[in-house]
Amino acid sequence: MKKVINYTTMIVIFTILWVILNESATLFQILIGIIVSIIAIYFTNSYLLLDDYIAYYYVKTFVLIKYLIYLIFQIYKSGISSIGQIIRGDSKVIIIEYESCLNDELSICLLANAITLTPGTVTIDKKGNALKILCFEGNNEIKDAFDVEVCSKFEQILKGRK
Amino acid sequence: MIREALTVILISIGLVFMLFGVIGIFRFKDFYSRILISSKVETVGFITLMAGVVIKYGFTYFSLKILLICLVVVITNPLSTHAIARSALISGFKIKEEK
Repeated sequence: MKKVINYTTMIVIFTILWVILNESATLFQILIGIIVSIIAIYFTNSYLLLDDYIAYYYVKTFVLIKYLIYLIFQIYKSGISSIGQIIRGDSKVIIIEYESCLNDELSICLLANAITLTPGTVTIDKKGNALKILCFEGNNEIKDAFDVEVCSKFEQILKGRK
Repeated sequence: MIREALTVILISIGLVFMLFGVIGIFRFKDFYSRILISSKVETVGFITLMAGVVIKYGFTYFSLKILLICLVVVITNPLSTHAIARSALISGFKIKEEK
């Protein structure tokens, strides 16, 4: 039953993308969208991703929205603080090693993605749940965020993805 | 009227972010500090600029396409930045000491 719900969600999302790209929401276009979505999912399951990828890549919609909102907030916060960095001309960079409290691969990748999207920090390496982060030396925000013993806010959000 | 004003404000803020990013790229001489600053131009500037364009055109197919582009950029931008920085680190590119 869960599989049917997951496939239906995917078909709905793909059909919406089809309608947006074709700029037409007629019944004919929606029907073609559904057919193309089913064919795309069939080919993906048959030739591209042979494992059970739906369970692996599953993220709750609420968690995804919360993650995106917090990500945009952090992007702007760091974007504004890095303007000061540019004005001061403080260009000394360091590499921080950070061990995440997340265990599954997708959550760690989403965390690494969020770190790289935030101006002033780039994830340069990942081994298991240990991340190497490149950042400005004077960037106190990142140091404060990763010096804490408990999980950072991003990790707390991503922990509830399943 | 309000929409036009909001559009102009958002696009201007996006351009200011991009301007500072470009200044940073020219100001910093080290590869790693440049890559840190260039992600600013790509993310903050781009998202703000696109938000301005979406507000200008309202809820249309064009705006939805812009949002799709933003989503693709948010997913793929860190991948390219990570690949470039990681390949530099693996190649033995050292962090320059400031003089």
